[in-house]
Amino acid sequence: MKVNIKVASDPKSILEGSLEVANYFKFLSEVHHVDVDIERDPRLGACIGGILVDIEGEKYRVNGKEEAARLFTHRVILKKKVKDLEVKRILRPQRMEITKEVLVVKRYFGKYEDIDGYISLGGYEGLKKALKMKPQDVVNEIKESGLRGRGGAGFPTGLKWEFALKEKSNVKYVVCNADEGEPGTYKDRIIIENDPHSLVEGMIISGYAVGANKGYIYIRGEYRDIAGKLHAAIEEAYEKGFLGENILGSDFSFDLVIRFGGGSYIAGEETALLDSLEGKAARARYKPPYPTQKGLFGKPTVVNNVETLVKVPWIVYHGGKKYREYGTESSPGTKLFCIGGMANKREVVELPMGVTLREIIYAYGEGVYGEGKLALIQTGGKAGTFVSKDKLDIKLDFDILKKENISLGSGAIVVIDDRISFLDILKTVIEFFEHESCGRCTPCREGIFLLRKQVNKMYEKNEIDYNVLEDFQRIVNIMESSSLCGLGQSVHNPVLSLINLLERGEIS
Amino acid sequence: MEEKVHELIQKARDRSLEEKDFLLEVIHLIHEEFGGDAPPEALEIVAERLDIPPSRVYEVATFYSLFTLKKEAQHIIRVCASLPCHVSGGKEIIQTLKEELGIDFGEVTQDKMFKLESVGCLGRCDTSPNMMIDNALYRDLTPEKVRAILDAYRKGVIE
Repeated sequence: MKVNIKVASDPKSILEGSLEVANYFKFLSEVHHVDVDIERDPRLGACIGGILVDIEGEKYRVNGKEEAARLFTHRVILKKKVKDLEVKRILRPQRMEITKEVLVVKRYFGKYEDIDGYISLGGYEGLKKALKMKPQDVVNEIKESGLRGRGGAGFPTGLKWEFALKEKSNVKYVVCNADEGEPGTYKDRIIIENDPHSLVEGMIISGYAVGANKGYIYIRGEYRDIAGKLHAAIEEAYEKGFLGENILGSDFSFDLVIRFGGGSYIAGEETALLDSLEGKAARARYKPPYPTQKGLFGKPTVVNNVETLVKVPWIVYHGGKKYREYGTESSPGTKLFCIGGMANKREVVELPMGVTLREIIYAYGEGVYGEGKLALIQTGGKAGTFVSKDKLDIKLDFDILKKENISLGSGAIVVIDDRISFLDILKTVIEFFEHESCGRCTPCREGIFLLRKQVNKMYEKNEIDYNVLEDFQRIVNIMESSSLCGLGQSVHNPVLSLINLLERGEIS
Repeated sequence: MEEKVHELIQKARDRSLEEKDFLLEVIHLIHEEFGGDAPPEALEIVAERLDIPPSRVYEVATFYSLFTLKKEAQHIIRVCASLPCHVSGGKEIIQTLKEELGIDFGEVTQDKMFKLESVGCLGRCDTSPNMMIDNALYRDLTPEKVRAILDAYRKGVIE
């Protein structure tokens, strides 16, 4: 006989982890081969001291996974009442709201098959509007929107475009950075798979705005199999006259091709990416000059992330002001977050800036899978930071995060449960950097070598040596101040934040 | 071989915007054409034809992890060793692979069937843990699944 379980799923309960409880019951039912029907009920009510659960009409409260497991074993499997978890007083759920998805990037996901479908949804209207504007006005619109780069660095897009527009050169380039390689990040792949035309349109508009006639989309080699749709989209755009000579009868011409990387994390760094496009090994360049001054083949070049570019047609069409209606004052608009690791539901969600980690993890990610409990969250990819549970309610906004020393980076949210040790995480992080350091500059090459040697020693002995960790802090600080590119400069983010959490007893 | 490589160079050139932007594309095409590696002889032809120093072509062909000069095994297994996979069971996946194959990262099995490599991130963190064998992606892995997949390759069910 199927046992009917209802779990309170009003917003407040959800943020306290009720979906995690519901998922855990499902997990337990699979482990124990028990047939249950689990319902998420937003009107079940609430109780004090836990999540309200209804099992065949009996009301219980559950606080944490141990209690959930005990309730499940006794009430569902052994069919006995669990007195100490029984609830007498059912309260009305508190009224509150969870931040909802806003679909700017995801607006056309799964809605069209080909360019005609895209056009019928309003596709290429942004381009049409842009071509009637002066390039400077397009740049102004992007500036007005407050759009900041979505690849990780968060540089204001409009400003970058303006730098390139002001450069006098007969040849300029726009480059899309689709070399997504930051661990935990998969949004650009999802965009390319689901809405290639918005990327093409964004590229054309960016070319028009900065005065570039040639564009490259640089995709990581590991994504060679998913680029078919993008290839097709580019071909269709040529056929319809959105690409090529005199686009839509204007005097603007633009050519666009796809290029594939060869498997290199550092190629995602914009200057290394340009070297790779030039047919060289991907190694970061010294800055300045910046790419907007001397970029690809020494010409002014704008490099933007996929997510940034896909927003451009929307912003041009609806206006920068409209984009500002979402998000916060200092971080306008939406952001794609990639939920990964031990979350129950791993997907890309598009939420306005200012959303909290709690909302992302408990409402969208539905909590931690299986028996583990939330220990840490890594935000912003491997070069990002480790964050403890007490930061769950911080608003994700560039300024607030800066104050808190949290990196949002590419939008990766990796849920880490308590079954993993400090040394295990540290070793994985350092091995990654060792694998990806290009070896051009000494601080990064030698610094990582030292870290690796020491972490291996500790890992083998399974013993944390605090003197060594002090050394680690010194090494990563030197790397931060003296490494050539973002890779070496950012090793301190994960290492220091992880050591900090160890010292605070959040992980052992 | 010379003719074939010239053909591939032309194919890459057709998809180019500038004279110097397609070296990586040529190397990709050579890999696809020659069944998984870029033989040095082919690269020499590329260097000569594109007027790039052979040392540069060699550097590029050895710098990137997807390129290889000589195929050492029939299949190359690329398993994600990065944190999102690691925390969701990837640790056990890597352990299983090493045990089943009897080799460490960077090594080739005695029968030259598999080479095992670790990679940074495959960008499929929504279905971690993940691995790739040649161009095929395997997601949501468990030790049992890994054993079954290796078995399928060994028995020739998957080629």
